[in-house]
Amino acid sequence: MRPLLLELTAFGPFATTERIDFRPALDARLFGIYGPTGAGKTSLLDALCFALFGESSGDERKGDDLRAHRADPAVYTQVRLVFELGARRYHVVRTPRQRVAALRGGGLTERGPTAALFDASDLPLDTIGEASPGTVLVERKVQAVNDRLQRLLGYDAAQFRHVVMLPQGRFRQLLTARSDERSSVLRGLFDVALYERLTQQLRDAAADTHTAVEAARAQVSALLGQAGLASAEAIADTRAQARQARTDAVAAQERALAGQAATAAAVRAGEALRQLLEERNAVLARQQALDAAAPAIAALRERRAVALKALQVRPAQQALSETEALLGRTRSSLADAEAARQVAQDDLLRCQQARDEAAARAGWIEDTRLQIARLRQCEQQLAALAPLQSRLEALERQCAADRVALDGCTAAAAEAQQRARTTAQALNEAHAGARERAELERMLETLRTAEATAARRNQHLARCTALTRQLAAQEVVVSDAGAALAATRARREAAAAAAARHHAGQLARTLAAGTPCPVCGARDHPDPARTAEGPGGEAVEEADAALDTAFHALQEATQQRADLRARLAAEQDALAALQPAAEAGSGLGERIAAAEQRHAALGRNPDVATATKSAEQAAARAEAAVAAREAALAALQAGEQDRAAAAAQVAQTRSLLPVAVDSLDAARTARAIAEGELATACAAIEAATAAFQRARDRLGQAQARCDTLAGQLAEQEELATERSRAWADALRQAGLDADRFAAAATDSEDLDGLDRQLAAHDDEQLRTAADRLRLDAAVAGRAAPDLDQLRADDAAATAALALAREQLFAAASRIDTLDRLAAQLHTALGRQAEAEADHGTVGGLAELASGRNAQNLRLHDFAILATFEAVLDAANRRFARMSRGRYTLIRKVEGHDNRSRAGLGIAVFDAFTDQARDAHTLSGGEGFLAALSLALGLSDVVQAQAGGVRLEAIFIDEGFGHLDDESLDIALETLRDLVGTARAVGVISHVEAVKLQIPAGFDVVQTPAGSHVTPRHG
Amino acid sequence: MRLLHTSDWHLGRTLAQESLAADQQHLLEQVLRALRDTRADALIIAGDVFDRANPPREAVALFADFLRRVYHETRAAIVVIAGNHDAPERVSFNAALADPARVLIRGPLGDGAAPLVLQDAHGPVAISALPFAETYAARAHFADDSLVGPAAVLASQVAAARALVPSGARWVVTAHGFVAGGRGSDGERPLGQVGGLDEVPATLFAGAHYVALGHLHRPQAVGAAHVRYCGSWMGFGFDEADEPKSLSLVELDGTGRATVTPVPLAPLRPLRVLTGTMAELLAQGRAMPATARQALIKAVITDTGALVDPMGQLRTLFPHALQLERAHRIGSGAAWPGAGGAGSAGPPGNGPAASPAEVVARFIDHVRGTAPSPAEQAWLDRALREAARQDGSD
Repeated sequence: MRPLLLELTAFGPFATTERIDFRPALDARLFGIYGPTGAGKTSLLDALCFALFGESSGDERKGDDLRAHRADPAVYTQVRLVFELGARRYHVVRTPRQRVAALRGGGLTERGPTAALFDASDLPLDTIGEASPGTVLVERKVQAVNDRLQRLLGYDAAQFRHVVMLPQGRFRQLLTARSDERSSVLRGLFDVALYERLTQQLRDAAADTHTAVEAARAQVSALLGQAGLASAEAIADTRAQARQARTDAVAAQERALAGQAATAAAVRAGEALRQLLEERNAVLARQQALDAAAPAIAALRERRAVALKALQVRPAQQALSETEALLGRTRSSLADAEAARQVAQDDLLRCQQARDEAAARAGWIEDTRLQIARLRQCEQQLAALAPLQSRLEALERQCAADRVALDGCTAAAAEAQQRARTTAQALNEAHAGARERAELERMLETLRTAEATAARRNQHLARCTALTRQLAAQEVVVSDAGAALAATRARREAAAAAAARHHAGQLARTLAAGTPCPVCGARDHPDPARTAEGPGGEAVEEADAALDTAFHALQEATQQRADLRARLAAEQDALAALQPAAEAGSGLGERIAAAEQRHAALGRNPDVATATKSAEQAAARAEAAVAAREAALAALQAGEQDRAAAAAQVAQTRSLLPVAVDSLDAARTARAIAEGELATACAAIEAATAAFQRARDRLGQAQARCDTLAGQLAEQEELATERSRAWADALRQAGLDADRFAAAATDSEDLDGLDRQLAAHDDEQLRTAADRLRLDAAVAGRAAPDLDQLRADDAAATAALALAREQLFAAASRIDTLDRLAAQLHTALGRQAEAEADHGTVGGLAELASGRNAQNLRLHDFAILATFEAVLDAANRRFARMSRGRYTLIRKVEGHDNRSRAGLGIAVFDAFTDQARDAHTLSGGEGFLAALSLALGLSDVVQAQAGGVRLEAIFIDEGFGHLDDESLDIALETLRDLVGTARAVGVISHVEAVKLQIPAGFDVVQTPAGSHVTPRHG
Repeated sequence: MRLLHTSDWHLGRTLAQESLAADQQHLLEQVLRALRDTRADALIIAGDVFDRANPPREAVALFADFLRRVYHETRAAIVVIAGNHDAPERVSFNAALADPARVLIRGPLGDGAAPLVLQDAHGPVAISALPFAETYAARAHFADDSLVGPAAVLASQVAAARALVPSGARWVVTAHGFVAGGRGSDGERPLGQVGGLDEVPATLFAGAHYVALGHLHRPQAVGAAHVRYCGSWMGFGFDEADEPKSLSLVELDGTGRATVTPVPLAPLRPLRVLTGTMAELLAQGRAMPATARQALIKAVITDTGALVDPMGQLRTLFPHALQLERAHRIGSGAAWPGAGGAGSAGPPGNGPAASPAEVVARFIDHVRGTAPSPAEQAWLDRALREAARQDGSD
């Protein structure tokens, strides 16, 4: 795990957001986090640990307490960490449980912890943040994020504190941990599970091989049971017996085969004889049938002779029949022709009547032709009138349009004139208003000036009166102050005199005869002062103070009086200057009010210029409108004249028409109707004439056909009589009558059939005689055989043969079965031996790995021990150097109880005493060095295991403070030399020498508003 | 002109918690004597005066007393620069008060690059003092953000100093850094901590007649005879045991040609590495005179069996035995005796790279005493593949 970027918000002592880029520090490989106690050095590690595990670096600080106390309640506490694991880059963001400002209403609300994990492998570090977090792996579910991270990292929070981040004050934990605790750390970091799985694999393999052995044995016994054998050895005897049985069966089969062949031949001979006997019986039956059929054959020969005669007279009969049929057809045709002639005659009569009716309409046709000619003349005259008519219509439309235009112009002219009058009126009013307004404004200004002057004069007058009153009062004050000063001065003199007396009295008391007076030096004191009572020096000081006060009061009063006089004089001067102007002031207020009222009534100042312009424009527009109306009137009058002329011409033309029609179209329509009727009438006359002609022709034709058919009928009747005679002659010559001819008709048709029947009978007669001769010769002297007996003998021989074959097959099968069994048994025995050998090998290994060995040591425990020794080796590379060769960490067996199996105790071998002692006995500094070496050693070994946990950064929270100067130097030197190339070590310290020797890293700076982190520059 | 060149005093250093104050006082006396004996015109201390940025009071007092005595008891000028172990401001905090004709102490770059100019019969000699400066401080001072690493910083310092050398003067430069070709030792702390090149080429100092370098603890010339490390004045680790330490006396003639003569320094307590069985070492100790047994001792004990309190025994003879190693265990974390006489219950560790297959093979051998047979190995391989596959499918 290589932390690249840590971002804290409202976390621990960091009230705002701190973004810490670890890359330069990691590149330096050895770096420090420095700052005064309480600045938040450890909080950085807390944040790192919190980001990874949701816990702080020292587990006594729970995730929930990590929120900055100084944080803005609206800001969420949040930690963002970007770190690398191998080639992948991950991004985790967490917020702890915290109380923050509620979204609605005041007050605080509790917010549960959140966490999210992203894969940010493809993102540049600078861009990773809220907006660009990377591909989400897990979010929202804190436990899911924890689980995923722990799986990725390969260690949990407790192991992290043992090996990656050695927390403040607890760096010795791993060094002095109990053997089983250490075992759990090592198990977490190293893939000991591999050895456990390996052991399990061996155990599983042992179980499998055991199963295989049992299966092989079961198979062997199953095979023996199958063969009914007690043992594998018995199979040889069984196979020899089976072969003997097969030889016997072969001989028996050959015997049965010969017997069955003999019986089969006897059956075949019997069956052949029986066949011949049956055939002879059949020939005898056929002969009897032929004899019975002889009379029927003779009758058949007679029928054939009659049929031959009928055949000879048949043509005469046929000629008669044909003639009679023709006669019938001709009679029928004659009747049809008679009917047709009658119909044609009726038609002719009807057509004649229709033709006569049509000829009667000749007069109407002539009238119609005349009317058509007159209409055609009208049409020509009306067509000539058309241009004149359309001109008249155009003129009428023009006149209507001109009338509308004239009305429009008239209305527009009236409106424009009205508007011109209105704007002229408005212009006059604007001129008058402006004049009056200007006059009023001048008057108002004069009145307001006069009013201001009068007001100022009144003020000055009032102030003069007041000042005069104040001055009189001040005069009294001045004279009072003068009197007071005089009185005070008198009191002060009296007090001075009294004080002198008091002093003299005091002095006099000290005087003694013979001693010099301290004032005059006289040794005689003839008149010492007597009064020593009364006020002393204090009274004089008081009087002096009063005198000062009185004097100042007089001065002040005099000054105030002079001020008042000056102010009064100034006011009087001002009043005098205003006097002349003030005279005209009476009644001013009322006049101003009246003027303002009128001014207000005048309203807004009218715009004379605009009014003038409007009036001019309106006048011009009115003039233009009047001119337009006159033009329109002139146009209308001209149009009306043209129209009247055109109308007169049209009327005249119309009066000259031959037929009274309204229009050319009407004339054309009337003519078309007349022509249509005329054509219809002419066509009807022609049709009636033609129909009469056709009816006359049809009647002629029908009559001709009747005549032809009557002629034909006569000829045919004659022919029929002739042929009837010829038929009767033919019958007589053949010796037949009509009935016999009719009866022989069928036979004469089928003469061939009669011939075939007679021939078949003759053939059968010949064949039967031949068969009889042959069969009589074959059976001569032979009796009928006993076929049933023969067949029973053959069935018995066949059954005996089948039995012999079955016995032979059974013997061969038995031999096959036994051969196969022998081979299977051989294979099964081989497998059994192999399985037993495997079980021996792998079972032994499983026993060893599971701890059933002379040492009672399990494989995975051994692996832990081996790893642990490697860790100690790596640790000693540093610790021996740091202790100048004095100390070495060694593995200690902790006793002979159960714990000895762990064997992960650490002792320190002291070269000075050549003794091992407990790690607890190391001094603080030595213990720190040992712990540091152990952590680095652990990291070495973890790094060396391929594809496992990665410890690319180690953090040490304090501990250097335990070292004296020289040890510190050696420790830092060793650390520098042995930090390793694939790893960085971060130390948290406030020790000055550490800072000097490890310049890279960060300073944590404390300010009243929260702490900040800055990268160090040497 | 005679210059006495020294560097890398590391005042305030301890060795295995043993104070070296007396040893360093002893050396300071020798430096004073050398200044007097050689009638040197100037003493140049080329950085790492103190061992750390915040030196102990005793170390500061020692140095203050030394400077006072040089100024008052000799006629030598004093040139001091801060090294990478020094805090620049602490080295030069009151240098502004010093006699500008005889004293030039440079801590931070802000002190300027003007040389101290001394005169002899042949004319002026300008000594430019270039303290070690961190990259970021140099970027700020030179207003040049492109500076990366100690080499780039020193190049800028040399260029600035060169511009201030009076024409015709012979030029001596003192600087603290790593000049290409120098051989380091374990005692030096690397300069570059924020990247960039550590090493500067000797040609960077073109035009200088002598370059008095500090930082490397072995005396040596680099690139040219007049570009020189005088080396530390004492060994600070047992890897420097048996290396002679000295001051460099540089005589500059009228043409500026420099001739260097070492002035040997004798340590109060030498560093000694004693190797042998416990019995041999004890016998060796008994045969030594008492003064020799005061040396700072590292013992490499060749016994392979268990010993009873070896350090306690050694210290009865060698009161300053500081380190103890067992020869057969160096470089190996394996085969340690367990506590309470239970013995090493586990298998020998073969380092962190043991593959699962190796672990399993070692396990079989460990619990049974024989390695897996080929048949067993086949079963193990198959089971291991299957176990690994199950992991992949999780």
